[in-house]
Amino acid sequence: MKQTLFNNVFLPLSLFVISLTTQGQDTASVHYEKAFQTLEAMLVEKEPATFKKAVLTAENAYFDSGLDTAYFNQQLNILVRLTRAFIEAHREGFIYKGGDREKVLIYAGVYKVMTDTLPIILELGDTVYHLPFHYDFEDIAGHFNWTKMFVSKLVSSHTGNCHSLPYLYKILVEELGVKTHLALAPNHVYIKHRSQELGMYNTELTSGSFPIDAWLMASGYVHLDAIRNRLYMEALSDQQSIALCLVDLAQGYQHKYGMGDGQFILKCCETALKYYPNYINALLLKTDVLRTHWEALAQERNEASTKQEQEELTDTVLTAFNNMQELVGKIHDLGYRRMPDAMYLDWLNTLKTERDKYENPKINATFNNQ
Amino acid sequence: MNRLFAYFLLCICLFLIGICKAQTFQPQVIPSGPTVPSPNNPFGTKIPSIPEPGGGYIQNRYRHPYSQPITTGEQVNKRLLAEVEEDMARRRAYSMPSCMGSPGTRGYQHAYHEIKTMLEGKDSLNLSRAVFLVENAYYRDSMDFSTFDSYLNSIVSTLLKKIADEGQGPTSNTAKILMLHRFFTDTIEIRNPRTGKKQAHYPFSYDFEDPTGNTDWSKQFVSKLLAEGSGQCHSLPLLYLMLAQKMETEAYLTFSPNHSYIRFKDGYHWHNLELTNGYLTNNTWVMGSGFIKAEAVQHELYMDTISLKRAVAVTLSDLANGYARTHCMDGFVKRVLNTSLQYHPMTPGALALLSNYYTIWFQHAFRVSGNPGPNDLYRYPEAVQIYRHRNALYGFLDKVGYQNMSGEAYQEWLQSAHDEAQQQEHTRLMQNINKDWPKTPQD
Repeated sequence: MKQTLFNNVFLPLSLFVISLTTQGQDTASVHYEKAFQTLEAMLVEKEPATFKKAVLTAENAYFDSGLDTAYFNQQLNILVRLTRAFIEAHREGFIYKGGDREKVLIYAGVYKVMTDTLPIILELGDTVYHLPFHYDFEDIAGHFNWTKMFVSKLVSSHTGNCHSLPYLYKILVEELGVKTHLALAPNHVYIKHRSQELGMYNTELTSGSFPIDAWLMASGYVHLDAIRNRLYMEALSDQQSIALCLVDLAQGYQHKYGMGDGQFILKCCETALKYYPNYINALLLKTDVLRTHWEALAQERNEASTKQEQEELTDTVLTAFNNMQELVGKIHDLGYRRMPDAMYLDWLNTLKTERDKYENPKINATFNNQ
Repeated sequence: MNRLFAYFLLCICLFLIGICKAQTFQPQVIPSGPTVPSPNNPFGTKIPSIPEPGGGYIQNRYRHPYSQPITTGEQVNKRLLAEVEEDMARRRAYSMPSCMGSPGTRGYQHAYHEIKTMLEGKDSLNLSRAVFLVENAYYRDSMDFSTFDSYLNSIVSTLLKKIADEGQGPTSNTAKILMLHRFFTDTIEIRNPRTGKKQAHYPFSYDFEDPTGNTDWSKQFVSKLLAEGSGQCHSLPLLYLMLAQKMETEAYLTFSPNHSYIRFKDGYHWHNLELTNGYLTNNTWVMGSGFIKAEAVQHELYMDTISLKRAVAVTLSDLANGYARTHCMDGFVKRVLNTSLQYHPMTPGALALLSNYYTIWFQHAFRVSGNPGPNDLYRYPEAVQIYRHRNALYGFLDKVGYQNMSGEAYQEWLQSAHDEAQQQEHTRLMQNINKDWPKTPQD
C-alpha cells in the first residue's frame, strides 16, 4: 500500500516539482537565448538594427521579457516631443551658424532636456517643470542591483549612471533622426560628436559638461597604449554600439544566474568581439569565463582519487590556464589598467573641481547660451 | 566607279556625324562632398598622384559635338594639334606659377634629389647630411659639409671617450643616451687630447626669441644651434638624433602640437626627453597641454615614435618650408611634400603646409577661371578638382586630430615643465634609469 501511495502520489508530485524548476531555468535561458539571437541578427544585419531595440532587448531579457515596453515608449515619446518643442522654441536664438546647424540643434536640444530644468507652459496657462536626469551615486556599477544600469530604470526614476545616461541620449538623438556616437573611457561611457565649425567634441552626461580629451588623457589614469590601441576614446560605430549591448546582456545573465557553465556568456563575448575586437569589457568578461573554467578544472584535478587520474587532468588544467594567461597578457599589452570605484569617482569629480582646465569653452558657450 | 566612291565617302561622313552627336557635351557636376581618405592611406592614393589640373577633364571639355565632319587625315592632325595646344595652355594657366630657376632654387632641387635618393634606398641614410642639405639650400650653398660633419664627429668621439673614461661599456645604449643627455643639459669637462688642456662644453639653452622661426627661418636650424649654443624644439631634437645616429644609439623623434621631442627605450620602459629644458617627462605632462586629441594618438600623428628613415623624410618637409618661405609656393613644394609624406604620412608640419598649398592653389585657379560665382564654379572642373582636394585635406587633418597651438599657450605649457611636481617626476625617472644599469650592463 505504501509502495502504491509512493508510486501514485509522491513520485508524480516530485517529478512535477522537478519539472517545474527545470522549466523555470529553461524559460530563463529561453529569454536570454532569444535576446542573443535578436542582437546577433542585428549585428549580421539580418534584422534592422536600432540602438533602442538593442538596449531594450538586453534589458527585457533580465526581466524575463516582462519589461513594460509600452510605458517605456510612452515616456520616450514625451521626451522626444519635449525636445522637439524645445528646439522649435530656440531655433532662432541658437548661435551656432555652421552648415550642420539642424544636427547640432538636435544635439543641443537633447542635452538641455536631459540636464536642465525646463518650464512647460500648459494650455490653461499653468507652468510645470521638466526636471533634469540626475546621477545616481548609489551602487554606480550595478554590483548589487544590475537594473541600476538600465535605461528603463533611468526613464522611470530620472536617476541613472554613466551607462544609462549616454544610452538614453543616443536613443533620443536617434529617435529625432540624427546619428551620434558613444565612446568609452575606463568604467565609463560618454558621447562623441563632430560638428563642422567646432570640430570633434565630447558630451559628458553625468555632469552635463563638455570635457576636452585631456580630461581623460592627462588625468593620469589612462595608459597611452590604451588610447593608441583604441580601447578608449574612439567614436563607436552603430555595430560596435550593438556589440556593447550584447556584452550588457551577458553581464545581466551573470548577475541573474551566475556564470553557469560559461557557455552563454562566452558566446556573447565572442560574437561581440567579432564586431569590436578591442572591446575591453568583452575581453574582461571572457577572462572571467576562462578563469572560472580553469578553476573548476583545477579543483576537479585536486579532488581526483587516483594519481593516474590527476596526471591525466594536468594537461587540460595547464591548457586552460595558458588560455586565460594569454588573454590577460593581451589585455595588459593593449594598455588596460584596472580602475577602482573610488578612483573612478575622483576622476569624474575632476570635471567639477578643475572645470577651467578640462572644459571645452567653445561648446559650452554654444550650448549653454540659449 | 566614281559613284561608288561617293557613296563610300557619304557613308563615312554619316558615321562620323553619328559619333560626334553621340558625344554630346555633358557639364561636369560638382560631387556632393570631398572623398574622405582612410587612415592607412591618407589621401586614398589620390592626392600624391593627383593629375595636374586639366588632366582627366579634357575629354569632357574638348569634344566638339557640332563640328563639321572631318574628311582628311591632315585636317584631323591639325585639329588634334590645336586641341593639344589649347589644353597645354589651360594646364599652364591653372598650374601654380613656378619660380624654379631663379637664383638660389638650384640648391633646393639638389637637396631634394639627394635626400630622395637616400629614402629610395639607393644611398645610405644619413640624417646629418640631410639636415645639412636643407640648411645649405637656405644659405645658398655657402656651407661646407666636411667642416659641419667633422665638428659633429669630434663631439661624438669626445662623448664616447668620456663614456669610456667613466668606466661604462662602450656598447651600452643607456650609457650613450645618458651621456648625450648630459651633453645637452650639463657642463661637460674634457681634456683636449692634443693640447692636454681642460676644456668645457656648456649646456645648450632655449632661445626664447622667435622660437618658431617666424621672422627668421634660420632660427630653427641645427647650424644656428651649434654656432650660438641656443636652439628650440626643432633644432635640439634634430641634433640629438644626428649625434645618436653617429653613436649608433636608438632614439626616436616624436611630435606633439607645434613641438617635437625625443623618445627612447630603457629596458622595457619608454621615456620622453624634453630637450628644450632637459627634463625627462611623462606622457601625462605631454597630454596636459590640453591640445592633444585622442584621434591624434590613434592615428599616430602625435606621441608616436619616428624611426631614422622617417626622420630623414621629415627633413624634406623642412626643405619645402624653407623653399616656400624664401622663394614661392609652386609645384616644387607640392612634389617635395608628397615625397616626404610618402615615407612618413603623418608629419604634422608637412600636412599643414600641403593644405596651405592647396588653399593658395585654389585661390590662383579661382582667379584664372575669372572669379566665377558659386553656381558657375562647375564650369571650371580644374578649379573644382583643386577645391575638392583642398577640402579633403582639411577634412583629413580634422579627422586625425591635427591641432595648432597658439604661441602663448605653447610657452605656458613649456614653462609648466619647471613646476615642482614635474621636477620631482624628472628626478624619479632619472633615478629609475640609473637603477636599471646594473641589471642590464650590455643592453
